[in-house]
Amino acid sequence: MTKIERKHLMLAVLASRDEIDPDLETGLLEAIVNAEADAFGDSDTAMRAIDSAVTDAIERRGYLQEAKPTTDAANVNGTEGEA
Amino acid sequence: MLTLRRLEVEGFGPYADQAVLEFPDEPGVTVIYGDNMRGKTSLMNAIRYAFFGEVHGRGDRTRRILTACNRDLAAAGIYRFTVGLSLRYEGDNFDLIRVVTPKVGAPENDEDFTTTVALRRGGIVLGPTERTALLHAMLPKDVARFFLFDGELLDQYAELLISESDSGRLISEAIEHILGVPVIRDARDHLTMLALKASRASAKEASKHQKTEAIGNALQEANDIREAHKQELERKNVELADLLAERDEIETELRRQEIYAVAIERLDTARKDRKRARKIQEAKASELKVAMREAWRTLLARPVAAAKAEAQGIAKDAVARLVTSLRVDAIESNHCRICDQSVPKEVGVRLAASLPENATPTRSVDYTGMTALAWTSELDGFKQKDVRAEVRLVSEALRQARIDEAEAEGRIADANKTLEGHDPDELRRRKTTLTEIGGKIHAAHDAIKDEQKLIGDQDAAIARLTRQLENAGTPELAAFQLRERVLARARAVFENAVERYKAELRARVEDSATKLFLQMTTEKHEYASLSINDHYGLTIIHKDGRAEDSRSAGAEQVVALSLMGALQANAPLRGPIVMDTPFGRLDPHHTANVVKTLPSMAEQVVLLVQEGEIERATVRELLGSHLLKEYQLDKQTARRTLISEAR
Repeated sequence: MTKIERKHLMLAVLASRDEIDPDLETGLLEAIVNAEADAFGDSDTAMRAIDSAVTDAIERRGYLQEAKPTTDAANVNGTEGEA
Repeated sequence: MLTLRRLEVEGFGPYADQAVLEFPDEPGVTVIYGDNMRGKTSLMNAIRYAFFGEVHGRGDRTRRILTACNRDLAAAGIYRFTVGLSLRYEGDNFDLIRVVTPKVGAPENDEDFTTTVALRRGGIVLGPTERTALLHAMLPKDVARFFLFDGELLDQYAELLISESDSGRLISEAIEHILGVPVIRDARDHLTMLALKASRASAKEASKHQKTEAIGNALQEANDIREAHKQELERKNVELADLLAERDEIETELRRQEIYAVAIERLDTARKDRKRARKIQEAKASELKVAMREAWRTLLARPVAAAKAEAQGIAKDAVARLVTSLRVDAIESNHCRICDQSVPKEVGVRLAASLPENATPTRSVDYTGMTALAWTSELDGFKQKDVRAEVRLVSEALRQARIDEAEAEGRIADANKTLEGHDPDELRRRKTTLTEIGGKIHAAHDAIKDEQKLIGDQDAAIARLTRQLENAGTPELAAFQLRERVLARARAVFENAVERYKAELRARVEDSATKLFLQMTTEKHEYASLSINDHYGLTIIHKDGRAEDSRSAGAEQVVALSLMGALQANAPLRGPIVMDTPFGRLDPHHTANVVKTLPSMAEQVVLLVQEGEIERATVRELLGSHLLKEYQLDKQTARRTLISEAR
């Protein structure tokens, strides 16, 4: 999948972010899309890459703002509250 | 982007000798002309074989390797064949080669062959893991139908309009695959798994501290239960997929053997009819026997009536004689013996006047009347019953049942003739299995819904416990909880993105398909657009807004071709379109429109066509500069074909 082709996917992800969690950083979402596209069909590799992208995002704490409380329905693990 | 550069076959299908197709680099159409039985489908199948190592027939059916061997060579004991495909993928050149050699002198089954496969990138042979991953990335098997297709595959897309159809669901899943939905869906699923892993880590950490131990333990337990349900759900999903695949396989087999399936149905019905006819015969024969037991009475009815009349006549005469005799006696003796009274003279005169001439009293006892009365009485005891109508009805029913049996025998003989060489019991078992599988699929759907609900319940419990843990949080837990929250937030974004992306895709596919459809249809003045449903099924919309609910087979194919082109236009996964004899159901005007539209359907199009479908001069005129190369398939012998350039 080329960069241009990933753009469609990324645009949908960013639009979704803007709709439900505008504070979540673009860098993390982009890293997740790339992880999946690069390791398509290889779950273990994709999950390792996502895990590492999350670690990086947490380390870049300045870029990752905590969200306002969200609804349980959209949030499997109940991630409301402040960091 | 995947493009084909060269196809080389030897010993495959009708290509006994080495045969080569070169595909030009620039965007456009390559046309291969060939009459029926010349090997057009074999070329399509050679490409499929190169990618997937499976021998295909028409549609998506797989066949034994032996069926791909050239028959001339096989007759001479040579069963080897080679398929080589040169490709360009994401800027790199690849050579994919499969060589099949027999292990035994006269191979029959796939196990009797050895296949060697190699994928070279720039001349370097890749390892098996990289080869498999690359081939899967270039052309995943479940989406190959959108790149390599024939008329039969096009026919399947009508299933997309039937929302409850499982094969429609499988096709729409494949469509979502080609459109890149799995990238976002996998991200959502992987984030879910990672979030749960993080939740477990938080719970484990919480259980180490007195303040949060109870919540931590409860959270761990909730996670364990959820995991158990998730595993069960996965198991059920696999079970369902297996059942659907099994059902598809049986349905395909039954479709292929439809003529035999119909014959079996006829055989079963005829056997039932014969059984019923025989039962009716038994019952009617028995009824007839009972009816005939009384039938002799009918034969005697007339003589009995005559005898009775005669006896009544005799009795009547005897009574008349007795009365006369009594009167004569009364006149002569002036005394009535019946009432023992005197008969006055004037009464005697009246009586004498009423007597016949020469009447005399009877001096002897006359038993004739008594005997006649006794006969009459006996004949009255003869119960007359007319069973002729009943016998006629029963006989007619018996005759009809015999005709029905003979007719059923005839149908049984016809069905058996059709089934000669086939095992009807095997086909019948398959039909029974199909019915059983239907029941199991229904049960699996229910079980999946149940598991999904149970997982939802656990998710709610986990969310509640996580909130409690956060409220009672300790500094040691903060890092775990932060990770959990970030993962959950990202998951929520991707969850929402899946549906958003799918909705956007449907809108884009609908738009592209409409454009292509309006280019290809000959009814531009009548139709306004195509409308897409949730399964990517397309409905023709008239200019007055009305949906076309009964479209012809030709219209189905034009709509299916529009969908193919639209998928190519919107898919992150892009490649060549190779179409085999796709114009079978189209009239010349639609065929011309489709050919004109081909260059806008994909960058590389390979059209396998017979000149009966469209003439070479017409193709050249319609495609103009988009026509890059033409080949023709020439008959050498019935089992050998040569490929030559036509232009």
